[in-house]
Amino acid sequence: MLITLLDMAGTLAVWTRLGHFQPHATLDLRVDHIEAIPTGVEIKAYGECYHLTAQVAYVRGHAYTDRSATIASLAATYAFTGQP
Amino acid sequence: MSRLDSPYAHLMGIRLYVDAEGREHLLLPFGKHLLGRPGSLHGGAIAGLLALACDHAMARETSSADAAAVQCLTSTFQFLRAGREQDLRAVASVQRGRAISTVQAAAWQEAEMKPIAIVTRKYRTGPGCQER
Repeated sequence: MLITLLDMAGTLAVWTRLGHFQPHATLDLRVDHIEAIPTGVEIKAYGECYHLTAQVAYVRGHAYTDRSATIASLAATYAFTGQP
Repeated sequence: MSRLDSPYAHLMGIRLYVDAEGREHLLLPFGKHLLGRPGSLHGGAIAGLLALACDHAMARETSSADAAAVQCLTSTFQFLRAGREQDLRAVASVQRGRAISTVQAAAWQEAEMKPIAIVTRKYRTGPGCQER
């Protein structure tokens, strides 16, 4: 669940930087599990696309709660695919 | 830690499957709710199955007394092929270390020799592993 959230945050970071939707596939996704995943609280995730080429997007991000700045950190690489 | 009896596993429909050779796989039956875009499984669904396969394999290696102390430290997923509109299976293997164990898992659809994604996860398993 946490990984899905991080992957989604990374994906949205790419589209946000692009300014439009473009289908892509996750190539690599690395997660450092900083803290045990809490239960009963909302977990949010933030992604930043820090580099973009015509083929590939590089993203870093993290998951956090109101109580904890980072419960997991993300480094992911996405490759743009052809048609949606 | 996620297990096969967890709400997450139930939500995803993930269940244990034992093949003809007695090997344990995890099975994620296909459903439209797993699609990230038309025709392709969401990477998170694939990663979720792989993570659960590793957790399950790690739990098998660990006595129930120690299980609560096992912590996953890192996960590295590599996506090799697009996931199609089919069931997904995963199998994991554990390399046990004194303090740190490495678990690798692969997920496939058509043939085990053609995985669509693989993962390596590191777990802290040694004494005092509840401290961080």
